[in-house]
This record gives sequence, C-alpha cells and structure tokens, in this order.
Amino acid sequence: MELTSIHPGVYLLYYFIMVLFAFIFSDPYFVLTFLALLLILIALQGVSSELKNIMKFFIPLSILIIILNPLLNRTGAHKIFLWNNFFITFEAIAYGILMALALLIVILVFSSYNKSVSYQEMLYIFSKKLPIISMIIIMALRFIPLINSRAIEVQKLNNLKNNGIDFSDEDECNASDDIAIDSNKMDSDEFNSNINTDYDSKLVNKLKSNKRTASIIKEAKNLGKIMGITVSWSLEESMFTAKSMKARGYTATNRTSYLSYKFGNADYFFLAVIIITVAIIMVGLIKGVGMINICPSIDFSFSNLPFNIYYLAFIIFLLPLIYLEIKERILWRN
Amino acid sequence: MSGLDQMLTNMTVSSNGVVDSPIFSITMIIFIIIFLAGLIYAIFKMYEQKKPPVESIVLIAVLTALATVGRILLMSIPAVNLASFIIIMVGVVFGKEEGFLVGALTALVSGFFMGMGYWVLFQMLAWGLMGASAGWLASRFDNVGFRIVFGLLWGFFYGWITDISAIFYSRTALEITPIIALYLNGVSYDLTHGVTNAVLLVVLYDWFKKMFTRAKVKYLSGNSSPGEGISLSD
Repeated sequence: MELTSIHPGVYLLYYFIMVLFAFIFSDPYFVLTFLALLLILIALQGVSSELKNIMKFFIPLSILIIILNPLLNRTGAHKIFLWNNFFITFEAIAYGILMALALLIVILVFSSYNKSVSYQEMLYIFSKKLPIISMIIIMALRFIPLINSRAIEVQKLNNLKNNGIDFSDEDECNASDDIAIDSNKMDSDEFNSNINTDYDSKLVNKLKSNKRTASIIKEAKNLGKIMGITVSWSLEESMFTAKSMKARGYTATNRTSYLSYKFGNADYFFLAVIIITVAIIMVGLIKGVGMINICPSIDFSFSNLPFNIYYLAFIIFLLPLIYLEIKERILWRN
Repeated sequence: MSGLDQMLTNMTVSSNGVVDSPIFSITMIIFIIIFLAGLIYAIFKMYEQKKPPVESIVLIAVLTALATVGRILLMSIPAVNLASFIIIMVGVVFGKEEGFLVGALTALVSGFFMGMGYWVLFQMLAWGLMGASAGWLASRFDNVGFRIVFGLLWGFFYGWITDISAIFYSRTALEITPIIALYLNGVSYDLTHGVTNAVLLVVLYDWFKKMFTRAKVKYLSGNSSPGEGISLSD
C-alpha cells in the first residue's frame, strides 16, 4: 500500500535522525514512548521474517548485557549487597537495562527502514553521485540468484558422480559410507522427482547432522569442490556479459534511472515537520530534557512527569509515518 | 574479592567530566559515522574517476556476488563464512583497490539480504581493509605460515572493527569496562572466523589463485582502454 510516495532522501534523513535519538535519549519516559510508537508503526507496516531472525540474537544478547553490566561496573551510590562483601549497584542495573532498550530500538528502527525504503529507492539516491558503483551493486544483485542456481546444478552433478563411485566399491564400505550412500540415494531420488531442491539448507543440514569427522571432511571437500567449480564457471560466464555490454554501447552515454522521484507537497510537509520538531527537541536536549544522569547517582523518579513542549515535539516527530499508514488504510478501504 | 572490587571501581571512576557528558558522545557518534561514510565515498569516487573498463566493472560485480553467496549460504552457522576467504584472494590476485571495493561492496550487498543498518558501515570498512591489506602484502602469500597468521589475525581484526558499532550503546562514550566485556564476549566468534580463514587459505589457496589469475589475464590484459567503447553519437 503506497498511495503517498515520499522521496527516499527524506526517508533517509528521518531514519538517520531516529537512530541518533535512540542513542541520545536516556529518560525512561522518552525511551518508553519511543518504543511504544515504534511498535505501533511496525505493527502497521507488518513484521518481517528478518526481524524474527534478529530477535533470536537480540534476546540472549540483551540478557547478557543486563547480567554482565552490574558485575563489571561498580560505580554508583545505591549499593545492593548480595552476600558478605559482594555488591552490585542499582545504577549499573539501570544502565544495563537502558543499554538493552537502546539496542532494541535501533534494531526496530532499521527493521522499519527496510520496510519503508526498498533497495531500488536507496540505489536511486546513490546513482546520481556514484553511477558505476550503483551499477556494480545492481549487477551483483542479479548475479546472486544466478550463482545460486549454478551451485545447485554443480551439486547435482557431483551427487550423481559420487553415486557411481560409491556403488562400484560397495564391499569395503563402513557404516559412515552407508549413511553417505543413503543420503546420496535420497538426493538422486529428489533430483528425479523435484528439480527445485533447496541447495543451501540441505547442505548445511548435512554438515550439521554428520557428527563423524571423516564424513565432515568428506562434506567439506565436496563443498570446496562445488565452490571452486561454481566460481570458475561464474567468472567465465561473466566475460560474455562484459563483452555483450560493450557491444551494446554501455559506456556511450550516461546511465538513466528507471525510477524517478520529484519533491512533492507531501515531501515538503514531511520535511517541515522534521525540521521544526528536531529544532525544538535540540533546544530541550541542550537544556538537559530527555537525558538523565546515571553515574555517579541516578537522578530520576517516576513522579517527574515530562509534560512540556519538548516531550510534545518528540511525540509529533514520531507520528508522521504512523499517520501515513493509517491514512492509506482508510483510503484503501473506501 | 575486595581487592578486585577496588580495582574495578578505580577503573570506572577515573574518567573525567568532559568525557562523561552525553553531548560528547553524540558528537563522537556523528563524527565517526560521517567520517566513515566520507572515507568509503572517497574511495568509491576515486574508482569512478578512473573511468574503469566494462570488464573491470563486471569482474568486481561477479566477485562481490560470489563473496555474498559465500556469506549467505552459511548464514545459519555463526562465524563461519566463505566471504572473507574470497575477499582475501581477490586482494592477493587483483590488487589493493579491487580488494577494498569487493570487500566493501560485499558488506553492502549482503546488507540488502540480512538487514541494513548503520553497522554495515563498519563491516564495509573491516572487509575493505581486509582486501586492501591482502593486496598490500600479496608478495608474501606464497608462504604457508604467513597465510595462516594472516587469516587468524584478520578474524580478530574484523571482530574488533565491527564491534566499534556496539560501543555506541553505552551512554558515556569512553568507558572501559563495557568495551572489555564486549571484546571478551566476541573472542570465540573471532577465533572461529580466523580458523575458518586460515584453513581455507591453506587448503584452497593454490586452486583459487590459479582461477583468479586466469580470469585476470583473460579480462584485464591489454585489450581495453576506457575510450574504446562504441559511442552512439557517431
């Protein structure tokens, strides 16, 4: 759903400022507001599979930060004695939790960024300044599925060849070779029935499941062989690509972009909102609103409600994308 | 136990007021990000200024794609990737500049698949420097011992450079204990990365050098000057 198109440059600026704010703010009210509005935005945009993968790494990491920080960091006025002489400080715990929250917010900001700005839009920004580099990136993105399909083909040929060798000296096989033969038989069956076998996950599963070093070495050798053959094949083939590009006059004129964006009213409005709110927030930051001192003694209490113009500006700064998403939903329904 | 407490307390208290202030850390973050982006932009621009032939462009694209596949393929096994090995080999055979470009672009392109973020800048720098240093020391790579040391060391250097991005999360910029904790936390990861590099550099070095040299001779020897392309205006 993209009824209102925003210039990618504006998005880039907006998300850059959001990341900076994630590092700067330490007042729990500001941080929790940031987190809540971001979660609303991501719920509207849809949760990506990448985010789920990243969260698997994030949860253990954040637990590690929260546990390690009080153990290593002993500054702070409020000491909590666990036993005899061993103490941790309240400040260090608060510090660890705030660090983990900042990490979470940055991950969520980039997840939202990947939803809003596609790679083509990003390359559109670069292609004016760096035409050759953006060309290389686009070609590399094209080559990746091509190389993957070549690797699948090489692996299938390799499996067929190995089948022949293994069946010829079947008598002196040991247990590990039996396993290999079984898996190879399975592979050839799959090859006959289903051409689109998943190359990478199967290979990785094999690498993981075979505990014995002998079979691991065998698999590694196979992997190295497949990799080398794929590399040399791709290098040879790309020679034709180069010659073909040259023959069609690649260097003759400047490259033009398929996408084109112009600054519209929505962009100016968005930009104005960003500039005004960020200016107000910066004034607040210089006065010390939105940040708390943690070392040497924490100076925060939940009774100090931050209802001032800076907090309002901070909320308004986070709202435009949520507003756009909701507006598009309403327009889409009608 | 009390002695240890005393030591840790002294270590964390010793930083002065200027370094502790949040404004300092904000300035440092902005400065580092802009400096890195500018550095990488300048190197890319230097390559563009040379008006490289089409063969060189396609070659860098295909090598970047190969390294990216090597990274995405083994994504489920942490710290094991083939990308570093390919980047080192590109640096050895093709030279410093190609090594840097392929390294930096591999980080950028795999960022499109694995999630883009500001940490990609640090990965670009780390892999770029890996390729460039391999190009710089290319003449010594025939020695097996040197290859093992180089692969192992770059496992650690890569980890240390990319970990700079995580230091930003600590609110006071230059405190020593979070940094130590972070780097100790990464040791096993970096070691696995380094050992993978070293093993691949021992086992596959000769074969890949032969393949890449062949490609280099075939692509880049003598045939193409920049002005050679057909111009449509004639």
